[in-house]
Amino acid sequence: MKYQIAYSYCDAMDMAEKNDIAYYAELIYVGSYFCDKYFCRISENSWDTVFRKIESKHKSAVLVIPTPSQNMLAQTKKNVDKLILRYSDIITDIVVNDFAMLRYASEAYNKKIWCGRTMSKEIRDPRYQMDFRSLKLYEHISNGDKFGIDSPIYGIEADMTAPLSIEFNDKLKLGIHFPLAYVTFGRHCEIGSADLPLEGKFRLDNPCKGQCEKSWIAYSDGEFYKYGRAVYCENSKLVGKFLDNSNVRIIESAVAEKIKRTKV
Amino acid sequence: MKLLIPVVSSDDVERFSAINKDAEFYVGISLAEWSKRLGVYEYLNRMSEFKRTANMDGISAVKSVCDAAIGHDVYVTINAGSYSREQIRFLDDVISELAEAGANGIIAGDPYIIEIIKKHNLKAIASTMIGVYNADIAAFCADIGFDRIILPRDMTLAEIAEIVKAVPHMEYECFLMRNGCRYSDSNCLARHSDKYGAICTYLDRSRTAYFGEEISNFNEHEKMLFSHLAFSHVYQKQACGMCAIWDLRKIGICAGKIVGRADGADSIINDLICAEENIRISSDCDSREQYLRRMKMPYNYDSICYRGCNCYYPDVRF
Repeated sequence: MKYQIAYSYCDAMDMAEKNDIAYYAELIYVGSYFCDKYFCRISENSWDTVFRKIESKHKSAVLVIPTPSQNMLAQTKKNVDKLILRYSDIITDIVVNDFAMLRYASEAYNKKIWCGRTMSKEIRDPRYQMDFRSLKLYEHISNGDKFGIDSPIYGIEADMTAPLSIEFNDKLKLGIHFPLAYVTFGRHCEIGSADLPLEGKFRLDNPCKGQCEKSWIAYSDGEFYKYGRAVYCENSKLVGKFLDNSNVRIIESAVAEKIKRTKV
Repeated sequence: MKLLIPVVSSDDVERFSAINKDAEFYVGISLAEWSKRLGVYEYLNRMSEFKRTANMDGISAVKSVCDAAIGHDVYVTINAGSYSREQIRFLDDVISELAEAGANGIIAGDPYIIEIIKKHNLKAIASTMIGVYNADIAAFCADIGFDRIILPRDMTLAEIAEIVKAVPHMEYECFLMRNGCRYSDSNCLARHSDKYGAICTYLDRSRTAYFGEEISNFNEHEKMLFSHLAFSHVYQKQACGMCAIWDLRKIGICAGKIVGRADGADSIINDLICAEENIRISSDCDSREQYLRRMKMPYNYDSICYRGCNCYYPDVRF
């Protein structure tokens, strides 16, 4: 059996709106991993355009919910409720990025629930040669440790910057992000602050204009990239080991495609 | 509001408790057996890489701090972002010994260690590594047994107030002085020390190039460049929350954290004196405006107070 392939337009939803969606992927990821503001500013028209494209190509959608800040919590949950209701036939999986949303999504929706990449807290740093890394959240969930959450958890996501050592459980999938692994992110947004005067920059309560979809930064000729709030590094050489594993879902990133297109 | 102060020796406890009678203390530890069994990339706490600069050597050193800190609570950081099941079994013994040594609580970075903290009847404190960014996460922490939450640095006062109101039967702690962070404790997963230093400062030193749809436009490029320079060279070089003390007390924050486990006692003392005085002043004030008129500015006011760039809570003044 072979791995499953997914394509993620998360944090780069404009790529799905403006282009044909990835024809070779079984599943299409939509939403955001890193920014609640980004998630909440996606217009109803944009959501609809992207979901209709996914439907027309007979693919399934995976809704990715970032960790909401307190001031976006109600809005995020409201948007998620609306999306699940409206596109219930298209959305098969939900990816959450914190334990509270895991609990909420498990109770509220009858979908396959994944623990997203930001819930796996292993140290990753491509500047150093590291030995095999474990995936502790996979180990805990695999063992049934879920803080009283009754519903099954379908999979755990990981960002690899070193070889991964994992004992697979047939009932728990592993999602591997490719070809970019995230290394760090926060709420202070350098790129979203570009239009603001110094005293307004990086402020948590200031709205942005979505500049993340238009501008990004490469550090040291691509050793790292900053796209939106997150800093990424390349990890394409590390995922090969998992390509014949039916428990694995490779999640390819539109952010990487976007960076590649404009760098040339 | 109490002050939570980092210590690395019993001498620190004596110096700091002479200045602040209500202080709580926190320590990090290094354990040779942990590193030997698990390697250098499996951290015992968030600052394990800083070794003896930020950590006390073994449980006996913690005992000496607890003995010196009579009447003050002592908390120990076990706040790496995640631990394996094998590591948690190891930590069970460590936490048992810490309880015997007189520690009052554990600052935990992984919710999966809550069970062993409670098993040894210690106070469970959710580190910023858990990332309590909203009231639902605070409620989750309360439900699984945490007694206190340290709220992340990157939160507004309005958000803090909403969380405290929504999940009231919980102690909350906020950052007050010293080190800022441009990313997020709970989501910054690169190494912080060793050959290349923290990822943020490494990126600051890296050559940058800007890309995107509009970047060929001179004005857009210039805006991005200025934002980058502000972010990397000006923003959160130090951090201070002195102006927010009145608000934090009013919200019901029980402890203000002075960070800097690796900075040394001499550099912490000025912040401690200032914070203590401002807490006292705030208790005599009826309004934020009154407090802001009377408060004592930090000792390094002339170099850090500009445009909210080094404020934990810029929303107080800007």
